[in-house]
Amino acid sequence: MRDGSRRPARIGYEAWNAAFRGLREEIGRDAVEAPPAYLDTPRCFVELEGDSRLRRLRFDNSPAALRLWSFLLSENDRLAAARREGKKIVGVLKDLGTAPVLAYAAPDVVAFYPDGAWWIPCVMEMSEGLLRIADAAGFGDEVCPVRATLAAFLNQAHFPRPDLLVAAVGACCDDMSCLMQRLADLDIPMVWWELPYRRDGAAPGLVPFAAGELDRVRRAVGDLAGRPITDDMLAAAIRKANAVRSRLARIRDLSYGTTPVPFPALETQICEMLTLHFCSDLDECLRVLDAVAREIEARVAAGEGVLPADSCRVVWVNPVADLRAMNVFEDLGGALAGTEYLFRHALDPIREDVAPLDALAEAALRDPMIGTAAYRARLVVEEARRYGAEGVIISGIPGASHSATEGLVIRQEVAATLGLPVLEIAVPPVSDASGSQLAARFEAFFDIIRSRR
Amino acid sequence: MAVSTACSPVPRELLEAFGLDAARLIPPGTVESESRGEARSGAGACSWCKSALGALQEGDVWIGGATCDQMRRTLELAGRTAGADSYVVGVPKTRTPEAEELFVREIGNLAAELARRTGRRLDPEALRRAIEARDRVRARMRTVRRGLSGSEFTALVHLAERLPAGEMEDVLDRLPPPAARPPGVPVLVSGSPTTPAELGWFRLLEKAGLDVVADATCTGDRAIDFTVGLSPGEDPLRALALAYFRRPPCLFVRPNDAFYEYAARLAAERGARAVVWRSVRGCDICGLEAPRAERLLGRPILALDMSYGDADSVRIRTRVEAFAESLR
Repeated sequence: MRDGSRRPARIGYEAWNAAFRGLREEIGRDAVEAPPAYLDTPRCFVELEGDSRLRRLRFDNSPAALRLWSFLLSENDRLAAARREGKKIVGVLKDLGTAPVLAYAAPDVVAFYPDGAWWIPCVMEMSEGLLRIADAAGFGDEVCPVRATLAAFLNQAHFPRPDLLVAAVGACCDDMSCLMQRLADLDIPMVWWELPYRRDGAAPGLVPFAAGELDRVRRAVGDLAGRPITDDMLAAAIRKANAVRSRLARIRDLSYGTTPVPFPALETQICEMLTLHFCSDLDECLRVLDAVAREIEARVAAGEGVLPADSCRVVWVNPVADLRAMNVFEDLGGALAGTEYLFRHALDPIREDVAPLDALAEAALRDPMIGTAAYRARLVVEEARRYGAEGVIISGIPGASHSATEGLVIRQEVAATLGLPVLEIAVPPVSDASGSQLAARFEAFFDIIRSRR
Repeated sequence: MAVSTACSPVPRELLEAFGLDAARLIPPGTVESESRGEARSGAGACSWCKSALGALQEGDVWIGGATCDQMRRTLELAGRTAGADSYVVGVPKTRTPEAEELFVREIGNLAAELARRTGRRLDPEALRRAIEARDRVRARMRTVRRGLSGSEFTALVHLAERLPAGEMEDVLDRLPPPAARPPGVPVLVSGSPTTPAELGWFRLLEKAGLDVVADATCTGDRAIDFTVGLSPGEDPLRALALAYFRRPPCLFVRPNDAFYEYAARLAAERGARAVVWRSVRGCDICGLEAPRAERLLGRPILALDMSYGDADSVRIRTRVEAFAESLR
């Protein structure tokens, strides 16, 4: 698929649309199967879906990246199609990476994260009014951007109403806990499960409890599907999820561990997000990540990258509400050398040598958000060591209960263990108004990193 | 070692059985403590947690519950502060039989941790005595509750949370008969717990013509509306854990129907005509519930979002007075 005449680059919206007019055919020519129906240029998503933020982003110029973006942006169409086909739709809240594996074990069930709506205000540049609706419902800007999820449920304009909500509550953030409580009023069948507090590190003693909780979820999804989910079905779903995770591991190792960086930050972030619920199509998710992995491998083999070789290598903590912040970060000299986007446990392989529910429980209990901030800081330190990072950026999520205090702990641990500089920023859903301040802080941070070389 | 229990699911009786004088951590609620705490927590933490951190001193040990996200993270910060320490008890948010057993185990873990730290073994008889003493205090406070104004009752709860059970019984022995209260519109207070510095806020309500006949916070009626009630031969540790798990719950429980059932029953029993819903700044668990509270409690509501500097501010006073006026 890779065209040797096209050197890897990050390109703007117009260049993208111009350069890739014939891309659909190119992908179809090289692919074993026909190009996927969802494949389209960013212009299509801007004009038909109102995803106007795409106009201001910079994209990787490969067909694999185009496919990745198209797969991501077309998810609501897939969910709508699933509904038309009579499939059952499960909305998964909070646990990030575990309950979807269980849901995909059932035939004709599609799982998605309504919480993903937190990016809608960014992608649609606030034109959709979700934050206004959330505000009117009592979820103002003291709540993290996940409040857009409440509004998306209320206005029903973005994703189909789920047939079942699976709500992981317990040691979760207050914002999500309050959001879930509010969604419980919407008369959608809901199964709550307890994601217990993990005092520190591994929590083998909690596995039987968490497995029991997941078993309740399994029964609820099985009831919805009209067929019980057996251990064999679950084991098969775990194998598939692991296939996705192993692709992602390859992508991360090559992207974060290679100089020059072969794949941009925005696209690697999307790859990581795909492992959470496979963007509503597990099989296609695998193919999308395969294409990305092949592209990156080819670039690494050719010694080609998308960023200067002297970019400042940074571990990034927390997803950004405004995708453009990742572009600005790279434009000014940054490069990802590791991440901790709140869901490290969803990237690790799920054990296949124990009972499937126990394996899922173990995976869920590795959630970095249900334990101490010090545990999460250790993940950041490990990531920095693994990929040779020169600094850490903690992208605080405005209004998020965990962001109120954990930055301090991560900063202390990183400084004490590695002596690396740490930058704390806060990125709102559309950061244009604070763009120059953000840029200045990135530049100053990169100056510090360069001065230490 | 000054041990405090943080958050209502941590049974103080257990610490007392180990011979520890474990007052409940109730922050001062002053502007100064909030500012000092902010230096330790960052700006985004809630006022309660900031004020608590602001009052943290060398030698303090906090034993608290992973109730809301902010509380457990505050406990972690306290444990990382030089000279201080903390222990976090896992507190399930759901109320299933499985979650209940998990909590019983967590209380067992706490007992083991206390044994390790104190070098003593848990004496079931000592625990039984501690439970019975606290049950007596709670029962006596329930008896006097109706004769007290909102500010008097809150002060009494604060005292009970600080004093050993025996001393609190002495206080109750000496409690003067209730004075006649000026008539006021009966209201239920709920939302965030209150601090000693906010007693003035209760008096502000009373001065405006509101009579706080019910208080569904954990520094109000919810602090005393339960009994462990040991039966002969019953395992006191298990009974204690179950009683704390089953007590009228905080808003953080999911789903939190049981909280509203409790608050609605309390409001009905005491004839509350309206609700004053006060949440401290930065507390999502209470603040975001105000619209639901209005609907589920079915009464006019005044929702206040306050930092500790607001307790007697003109803004709050004006809103309270306007609300009271609207109820007359």
